[in-house]
Amino acid sequence: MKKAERIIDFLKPHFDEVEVLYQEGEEYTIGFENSQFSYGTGNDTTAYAIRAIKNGKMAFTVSNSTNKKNLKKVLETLKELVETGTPVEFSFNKNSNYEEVKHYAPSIKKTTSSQMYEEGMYIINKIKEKQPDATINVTVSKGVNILHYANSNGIYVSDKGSAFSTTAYLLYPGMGMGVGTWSSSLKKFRISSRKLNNIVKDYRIGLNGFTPQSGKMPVIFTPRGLFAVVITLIEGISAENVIRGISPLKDKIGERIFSEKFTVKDMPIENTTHARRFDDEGVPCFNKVIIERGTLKMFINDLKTAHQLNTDPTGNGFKRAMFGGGIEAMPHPYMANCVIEKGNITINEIIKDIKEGIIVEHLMGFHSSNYLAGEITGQISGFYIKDGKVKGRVDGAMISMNIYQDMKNIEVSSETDIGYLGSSMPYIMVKDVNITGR
Amino acid sequence: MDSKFFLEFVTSLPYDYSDVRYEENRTVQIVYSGKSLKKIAENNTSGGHIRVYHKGGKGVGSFTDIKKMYPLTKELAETAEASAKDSKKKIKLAPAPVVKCEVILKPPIHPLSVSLKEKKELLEEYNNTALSVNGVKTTEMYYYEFYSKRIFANSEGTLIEYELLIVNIGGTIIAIKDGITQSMRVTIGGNDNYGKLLNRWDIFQKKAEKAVELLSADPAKGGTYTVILDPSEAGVFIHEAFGHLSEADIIQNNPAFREKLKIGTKIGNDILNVSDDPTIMDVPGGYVFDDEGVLGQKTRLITNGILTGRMHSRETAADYNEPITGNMRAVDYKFTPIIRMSNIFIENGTSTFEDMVSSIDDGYYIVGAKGGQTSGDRFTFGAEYGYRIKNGQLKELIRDINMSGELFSTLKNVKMIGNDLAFSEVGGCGKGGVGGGMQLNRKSGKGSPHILIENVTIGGKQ
Repeated sequence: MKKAERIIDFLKPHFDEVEVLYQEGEEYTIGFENSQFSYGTGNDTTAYAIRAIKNGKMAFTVSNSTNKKNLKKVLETLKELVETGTPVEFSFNKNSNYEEVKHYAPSIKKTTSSQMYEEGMYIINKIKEKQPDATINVTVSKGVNILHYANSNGIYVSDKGSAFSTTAYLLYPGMGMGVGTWSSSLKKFRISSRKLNNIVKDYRIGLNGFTPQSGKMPVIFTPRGLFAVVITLIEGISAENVIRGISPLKDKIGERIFSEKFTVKDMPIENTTHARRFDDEGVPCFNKVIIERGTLKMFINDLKTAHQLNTDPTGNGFKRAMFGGGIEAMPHPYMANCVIEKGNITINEIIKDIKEGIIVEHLMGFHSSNYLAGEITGQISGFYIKDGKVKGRVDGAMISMNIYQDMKNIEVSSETDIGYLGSSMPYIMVKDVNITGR
Repeated sequence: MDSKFFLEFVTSLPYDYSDVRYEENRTVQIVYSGKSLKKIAENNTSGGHIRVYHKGGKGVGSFTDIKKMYPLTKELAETAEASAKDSKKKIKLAPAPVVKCEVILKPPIHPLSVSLKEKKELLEEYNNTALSVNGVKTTEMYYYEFYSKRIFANSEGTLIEYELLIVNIGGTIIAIKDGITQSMRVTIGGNDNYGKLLNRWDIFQKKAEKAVELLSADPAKGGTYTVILDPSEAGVFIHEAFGHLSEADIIQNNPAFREKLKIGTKIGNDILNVSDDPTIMDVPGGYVFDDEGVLGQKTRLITNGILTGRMHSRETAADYNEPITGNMRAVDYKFTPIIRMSNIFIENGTSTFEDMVSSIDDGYYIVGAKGGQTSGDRFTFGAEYGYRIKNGQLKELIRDINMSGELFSTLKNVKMIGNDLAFSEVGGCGKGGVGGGMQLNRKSGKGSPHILIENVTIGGKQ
């Protein structure tokens, strides 16, 4: 019998309902700083989260040992907690229509630390061939994550995923900032020449700094730069925020919010490192369109919000957050794998028509923004465009925009890449954005 | 677990140096979302972390199953040895005293002595206080308690059993009107004493009223201004803008920054004095020993504008040939210790708040930390609210303030320092990218008097 089921069998006589999310993780990362090996980190950890309901109240606990003594302690903790527990009206998941996802590559187990070291050195040496003086930081990681979900309604499901990823970051001379590239796959791969060439090209362009004049100008978000837009959007489409009355999108289902060029999907059922068969409440995940050609089609729900809105859960109950997510967090509505539909114009075509503009790779301090209201502010890390050409890095400029007001007029590129919160993101240009510079 | 078991294990290993940290952690969390109790949880987890230094290389790793400690240690030693073969630089550790010690915390009111029901009721009262203010739409309020019982043993014979404990009540108060959303953060506590959480209704009332008042305020206008930062915001400024670059591991492998931040470099005006001090125990970053078995101590980082120290691990202290400082900390067993600020603060100056306001023709008074971020010498941080200053006088309330700058020029632009040093009750600092993933450390304190800075960039519409 599986561990998760054993935990359920032990606890269920004491409660009306009980569920467990059991997580096993193995990770290994090696890091290089300034082209030298710096550290190797290996983690082999397990943890499980339990929710138990009795007399309409719910208790929550996390532990990581399944021996009898500890399970008895878990039981006592839950019994005490449930007395003052969270009032609850919904039931744990009963739906077992799980789709298959292939996102585990068995070969990941055979990938050795010396092979990872070689990949790291390959990246460093290839960059050094083109840019010998650069300060280069590289990480190479592999991981296997196994999730088991079981509950007292007879549901048991598990999922196993693997990931191999590399990052390379080149620091500008005399500075603590620079340019980076990120790649990931289900199994070991070699970084593409295109990515290596691009990072060196970006580094060379970025050696010159420009501070734009304050004013309105076009801003291009790169696939990774879009993290700020996606996090802000997730706050808007979360049924939890809709119910609390704090989402600017409440009452806007069916309304055009954005440009017709903006289509956003949640795509957990695909064979990538972003895949999920089920959410952190054991609810089957499925692919869906959230924003279709600028029009809001749906909100994302967990079990609680679906019950409150008298609708079906959407398989979006995740223990994720900008800060403080993880096994100890309560599930709440969040996207699994954000995919933004690509456009039909290349990024170079977009850039060539810009008289003066900005490319955003990262926004420092974004988390201080009033993003509940759709606001995005932060210091820009990216590039400056003048007369259709990328001239250099942006120095000392801040952005201030609102996604619900400013993203009605956008261009979307035909190229995509992995983003921070999704497997396929294009470049998006927003036409008139406030920039504070000189 | 028996502490001697770990000491025997680690002293029996055939490597140059190794240590193990074993933890039993307990977290209590209660969360209200508006009127609804959203979460009530107690988590009990345990696990360990091993570091192996061998032949000039190192390997680090975590385990939850004690049986996995043995194969993991062997694997880490192999990593250390293999990595050292190709590396020009051999890792060394600065010497540290061998310690045998036990640290037991004895707060006036120990959170473990208070029932869950009492904690829930206290949080509910504060939450209701905020919700009762006319115009408040909703809240997200939490009670958070973290208790960690740790054993640290190293191959040199050090064996320390120590406790960490922090308790907070805090959250966000949200007000909405006519499509404008404003939120205010509130946090009390920040040390091991439950008593600090009691009888604090006034702060929840005032913060809620301010959130509502902000709905009628104008947003900040983008531009470059002279600003006064209140102690909370100035604490975030010194933490983000300067503190992270004083953590030796951040710049260890960045030759340009090591050159720029040599001890003895003039980095600010003569009036600027900055220290890091874990021995201040009643604010969030207080502790006795760090997670490398080194006694925490006050480090003077800037003295009269000159860089006089930085925060170290044993590894970076050896590399820089500077003294160890006891700043190595890990949020829990899943992480390797990294260099963290304890309680960083700007020391008192001589100016008064009134002197500062009257010296500004056109600027802002910026109040309330709302988080920040740093990348190299660039920093950005937000504020809860502010006031316009015109012709030496405080004027209208302002909302949505985010500012940014560059460390070296900004430190030189700190032109006045107040005489009213205060520490924040909220800790919290995310640091990643050094030795592994992001570690969100609540036991991170910051403080400052009011300070005046010239030429600060504020984002927003012009």
